Amino acid sequence: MIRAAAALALAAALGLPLLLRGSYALHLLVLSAIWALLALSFNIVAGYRGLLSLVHSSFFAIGAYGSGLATLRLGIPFWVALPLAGLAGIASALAIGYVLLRLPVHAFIIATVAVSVILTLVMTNWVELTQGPMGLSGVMPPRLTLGPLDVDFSDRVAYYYLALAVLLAFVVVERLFVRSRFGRACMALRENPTLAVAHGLSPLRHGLIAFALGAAGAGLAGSLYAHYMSVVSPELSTFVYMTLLVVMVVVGGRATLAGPLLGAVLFIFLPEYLRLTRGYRDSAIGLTLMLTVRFFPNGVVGTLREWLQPALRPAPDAPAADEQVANHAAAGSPEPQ
Amino acid sequence: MVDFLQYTVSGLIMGLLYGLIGIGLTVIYGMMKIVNIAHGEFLMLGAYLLFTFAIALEIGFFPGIALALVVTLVASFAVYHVYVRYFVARPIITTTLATLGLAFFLRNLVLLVWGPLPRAIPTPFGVGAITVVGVSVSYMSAFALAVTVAVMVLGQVLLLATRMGKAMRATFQNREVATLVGVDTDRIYSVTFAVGAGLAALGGILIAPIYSISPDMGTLAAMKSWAVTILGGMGSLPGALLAGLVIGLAESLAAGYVSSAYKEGIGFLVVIAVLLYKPEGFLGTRGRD
Repeated sequence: MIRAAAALALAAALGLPLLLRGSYALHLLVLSAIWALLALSFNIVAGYRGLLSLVHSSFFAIGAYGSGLATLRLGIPFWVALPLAGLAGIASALAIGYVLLRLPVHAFIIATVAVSVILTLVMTNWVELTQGPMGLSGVMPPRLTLGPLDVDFSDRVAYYYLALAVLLAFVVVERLFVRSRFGRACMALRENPTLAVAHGLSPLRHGLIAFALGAAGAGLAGSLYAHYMSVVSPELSTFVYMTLLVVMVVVGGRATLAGPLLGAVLFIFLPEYLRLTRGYRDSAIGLTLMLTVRFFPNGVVGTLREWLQPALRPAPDAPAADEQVANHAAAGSPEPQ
Repeated sequence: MVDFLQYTVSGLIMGLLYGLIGIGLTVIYGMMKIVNIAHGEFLMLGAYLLFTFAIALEIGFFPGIALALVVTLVASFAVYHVYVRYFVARPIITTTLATLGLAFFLRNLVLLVWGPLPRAIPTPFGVGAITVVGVSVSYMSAFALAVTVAVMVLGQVLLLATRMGKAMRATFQNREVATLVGVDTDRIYSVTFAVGAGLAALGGILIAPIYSISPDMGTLAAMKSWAVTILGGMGSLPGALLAGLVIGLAESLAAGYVSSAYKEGIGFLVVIAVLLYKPEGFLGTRGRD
């Protein structure tokens, strides 16, 4: 049944641009694909590894600036700049993670916010490089010429398939991650850090690799975003983008593959079609997150999974995890990551 | 030399305010193990309520302060009872997501109610300043300093001398045992949350006339209070005060001698530098949780 649903979703993703002819709907579709990639990358860190890293939107911004600057200033072609943006994400994640992943869990969360503020300040104030709050403009969509093949990606349909291709590649990577020994180790560290460490898993090493993998996806998403919107501003790194990202993953379903994809599509399309102004939209997003965490902490996909397969092992937020935390507190032991 | 003294004095006064706001955050964390991402939003709420009462409704500056504080206390008490209480002792990722949602909701609510334009709150003190050996402190800053010190002393006295204070200290040390001896922890938590949010609001009220108020002030102030809390050691009240002073001083000196563009980031650089060597902060204990 899950296979059937996945096949249906894939068919819809491939076929929708042919059905949707309105250019605004196509625009939202491209944005959904990019945000889905970003949400999926955040899910590796926050969902599977269980680390609430609130610096993720900064990796998105770093990818966008990196790719934009590489093509504008250095004349590097997009096809090189795209993987470079992923690498920029990895490099920043390794540097930041190496420091922050040593902190206790709660301090880690706050420190990620802190780093994202510093990065936003740098993007805003280093005017010679980033053109400050104005942002980079004129980042061009690529054009692919291979023999008889000539695709101009300033066409929205073409750009959608480009973004979709990168997204699908990342879905495959994330699925491999979830199935791998390494992915299971990450989930073990999330579920019961003490036991996992006792089995020889390293919170720092596994955290760092998961952090870097997530940042790679965020960097790629940033590059795709930059060359689609043609503008990059420090806003991408801010708390507003970060919160939207959190809402997509949490409402869709943490630590599931379908959840972040669903969340991204939902939160790109719904506010537009509900015709909400920004103030009401953002209040509604905050309220949605509050209600979801309160009543359906496993999100849409996680909750559906519980209903359909009640015998399944408890999801990340089930009472079992609570008891572990309580046990930590009672034993007075540190809560390692 | 006079410059240096001026930066030091201004930095220490700001630092004391950071300490006050940070204590509000750290007391909630210490008691309930909840990282309140919405701390800055309560601060902003206090400042905007002061604006509404003192300027828009013209009830006067000091009655405005009192009313703004009372309204924030009642509001945060209500927020605890309808929402926050369900997250006590849940995993840290759940509680943080919960307060993140609350923060985003409150911030945009403020934006909807009061609009995006920055506003100024004139004080009855005018623009005068006290000047001693070339170092000047505006009357408003002096007032903020006096209130901050008074509230800290009062808080310490209440914590040590009242039954409620004793119950709070007991819960702080060991929740299970406190429950065993008959402490109503739900009540303690509701008071703690209201006091924490109230301290944030007071910080916002005291800062508002010095700068101006805008829907962004919550984020920046929250960052400061987080920096203070981590640096001081999560859950340590004296640590928060010490860290507030250190960060206030570092910011003021950096803004004076280096560049004011990165002033907001300086505190965090200090935090990261200290945490590299002492991950539990100044006065935190390893393995409290």
